[in-house]
Amino acid sequence: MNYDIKTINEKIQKESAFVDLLTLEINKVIVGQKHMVERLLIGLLANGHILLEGVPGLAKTLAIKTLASAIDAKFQRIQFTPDLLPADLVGTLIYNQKDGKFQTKKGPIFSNFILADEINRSPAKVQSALLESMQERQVTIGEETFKLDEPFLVLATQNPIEQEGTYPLPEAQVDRFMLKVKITYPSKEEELGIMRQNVLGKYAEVKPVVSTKEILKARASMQEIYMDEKIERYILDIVFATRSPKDAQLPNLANLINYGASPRATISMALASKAYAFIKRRGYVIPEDVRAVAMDVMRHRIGVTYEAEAEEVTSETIVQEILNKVEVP
Amino acid sequence: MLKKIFSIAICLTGLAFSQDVSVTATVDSQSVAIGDWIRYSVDVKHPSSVTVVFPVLKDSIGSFEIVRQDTLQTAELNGEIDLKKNIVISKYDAGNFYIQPFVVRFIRADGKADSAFSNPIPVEIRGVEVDTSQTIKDVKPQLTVPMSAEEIAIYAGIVIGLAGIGYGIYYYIKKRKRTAGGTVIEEKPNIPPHVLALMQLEELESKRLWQSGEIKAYYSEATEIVRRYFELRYGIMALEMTTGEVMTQLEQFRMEKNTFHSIESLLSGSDLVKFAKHQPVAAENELVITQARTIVEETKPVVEVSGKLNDHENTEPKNIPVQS
Repeated sequence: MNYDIKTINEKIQKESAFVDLLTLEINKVIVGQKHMVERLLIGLLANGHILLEGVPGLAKTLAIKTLASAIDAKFQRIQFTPDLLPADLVGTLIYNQKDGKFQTKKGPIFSNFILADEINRSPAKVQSALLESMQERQVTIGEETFKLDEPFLVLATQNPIEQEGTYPLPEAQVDRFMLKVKITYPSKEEELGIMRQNVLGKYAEVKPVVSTKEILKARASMQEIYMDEKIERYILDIVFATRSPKDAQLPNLANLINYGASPRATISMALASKAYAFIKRRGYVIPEDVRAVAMDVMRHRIGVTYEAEAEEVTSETIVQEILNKVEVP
Repeated sequence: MLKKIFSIAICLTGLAFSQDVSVTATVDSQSVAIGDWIRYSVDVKHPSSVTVVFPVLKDSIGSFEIVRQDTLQTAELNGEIDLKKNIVISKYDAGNFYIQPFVVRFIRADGKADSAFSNPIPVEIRGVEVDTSQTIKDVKPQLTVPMSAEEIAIYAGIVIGLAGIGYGIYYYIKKRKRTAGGTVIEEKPNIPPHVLALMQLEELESKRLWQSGEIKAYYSEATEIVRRYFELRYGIMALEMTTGEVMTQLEQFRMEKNTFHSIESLLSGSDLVKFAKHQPVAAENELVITQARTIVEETKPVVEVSGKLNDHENTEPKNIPVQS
C-alpha cells in the first residue's frame, strides 16, 4: 500500500477509536435507532446539520441529549411555537438601569448542540434566524457579532403528521441541512428493551467519553481521508442523474423530477461519505460509503412534480431508482 | 283473331255509363297465374261541360295490389274529353275474384254531383300446378353474386392496410428492443456467460495493462468482467452494486465456500486498488486473472450428459452445500 494512504489509514484508525466509545455510551440510553445515531455522528464529523423527521416518541430529543452528554458539550432544546420570536432564539439587548447601558443577553442558540423541536411550527422569520446562524455560524445581536461555539450541530425535527398550522420550510432553507433523516419505529425486540428500561426506571448514566477538542481534531483528520476520482465521479453521476435523468438512461424519471439536487448536495455527499468512512475507521472512501449516505443527503433536495405526487412517487423512490441505475465504479 | 274477339268481349264486360259520362275498365287477361301481372286500363269519356274528378289510387284496387301506375293521359276531340290511365296489378292468392267497379265522380254543368262506374271484371288467378308424379326436389341453393371490381379494390385496400399496420408494430417493437433511452444497445451474443467472461479475461490479459502501468484500469476491467458475468449468470444487477451488495446477493446462490471467499477477496482487493491507491505487487496482479478465471469456472452451469448447458435459473452452479 502506498505510504501516504497507509499513514492516513493508520491515523484514521487511531483517531476514530472514540467512535466506538461514543456509540457504546449512547447505546446505554438509546435502544435501537442505530441509523439515527450513525447519522448524528456523520453530521457531527462532517460539520453539517440534520433534519429529523419522525412521529413523536422516537427518542429524537433523548438521542441528541445523550450525544451532548457523551461529548461533554452544551445542549439546548428549543421548542418552536407560532409565537416564538427571533430574539428568543439568538438573544437580545437588555437595558441595565443600574449602569444605564444595554447588555447582551445571549439566546439558547449559543450551545454546541441545538435541538430545534418541530421547526415547522414557527413562522418564517424565526426559521430564517436559525438557518442563518446555521449557515454563518455566527450571530449578530445589536452591533456586536458573536461566533458560535464549535462544534455546532443543529438537529431540527419535523413531524410528518399534523400539518395544520405549520410553516413548511422553503426548499432553499431545507437545502441547508446536510442530511434529512427519517426515523422509523423500533423493532419489537428493541421496543421490549425500551419498555423494560422505562418501567424499571433505571436509566444508565451517560458519562463524557469524548471532548469537543477531540471532535474538532477528528474533523480535521477526516479531511485527509482519500477520495479517489472514481468516487468523485460516482457522486457526480448520482447528482447529475437527478438533474438530467434522460442522460442517465432514466427517461421515466424526467416527468417526475421538478428540480434536481443542488451543488450543495454534491458537497454534502462527498463530506458525508468521508465521515461515514471515518466512522467505519477507513482512510479512504469506497462506493459503499456513498450509497450509505446518498438517500439522507438527497431525499430533501429533489423536488417532485405534480405527476409524481399523483402517482405517489416520492423523492425517495427517485433516489433509489437512480442508485439502482448508476453504475458503481 | 280470336284474341281480338276475346279482348272486345272483355271490354264490354267493364263498360258502364252514367248518362253522358262513360267509364270503361279493361284487362289484358282474365286468367293469370298467381303473382302474374295484369294490365288494367281505365278509360273515362265525358263532355267538356262536365268536371270529372279522377280518383287518386294508392296501393291497391280492392284486393288487387297495384304494382305500377302510369300518369293520367288526357285527350280532347270534338268537345269530348278522354281520360286514360294504365295500371299494373297483381294478386298473390289463387281463386276467382272480381276487380271491383272503378268509380269516377263528376259535377254537371248545372252544379249537381254524380258518379259513374265501370262494371266489375271477373279474373281467375291460377295456382302453381304440382306434378305429383315427380319426386320432391330440394330448395335451390343461394346464388353467389360475383364480386365487382370495386369490391375487390376495397378488400385489397383493407388487406394492404392491415399488413402495413402489422409491419409498423413489428418495426416499433424491434426498434424498442434495440434502443433504450435513445442509445442503441448491442445485442447480446448468443454465447454462454462463462464463455464470454473467459474470452474477455483472455482479451484483458493480452492488453498487458498492468505491465504498462495501468494498474487501476486493469483491476477495474477485471472486476467489471466478473460483475457482468454475475449479471448474466445469476440475473443480479452486479454492475450497479457495491462489493458488499454483490456479496449479499450471491449468498442466495449455492456455491462453494472457498469460491464465495475468493469472489469477496477479488472484489474487495480490487476496491483497494481502485479507491485506496493500493499498489499491488506483480504477483498480485497476475493472480487477479487467475482468480477471476477460477471463479467463472467454479460457478459456470453444470453440463448435462448430453452436453447441453442447463438454464442458469434452474441450475445451481455446483451440488455443494451452501456457504456459511
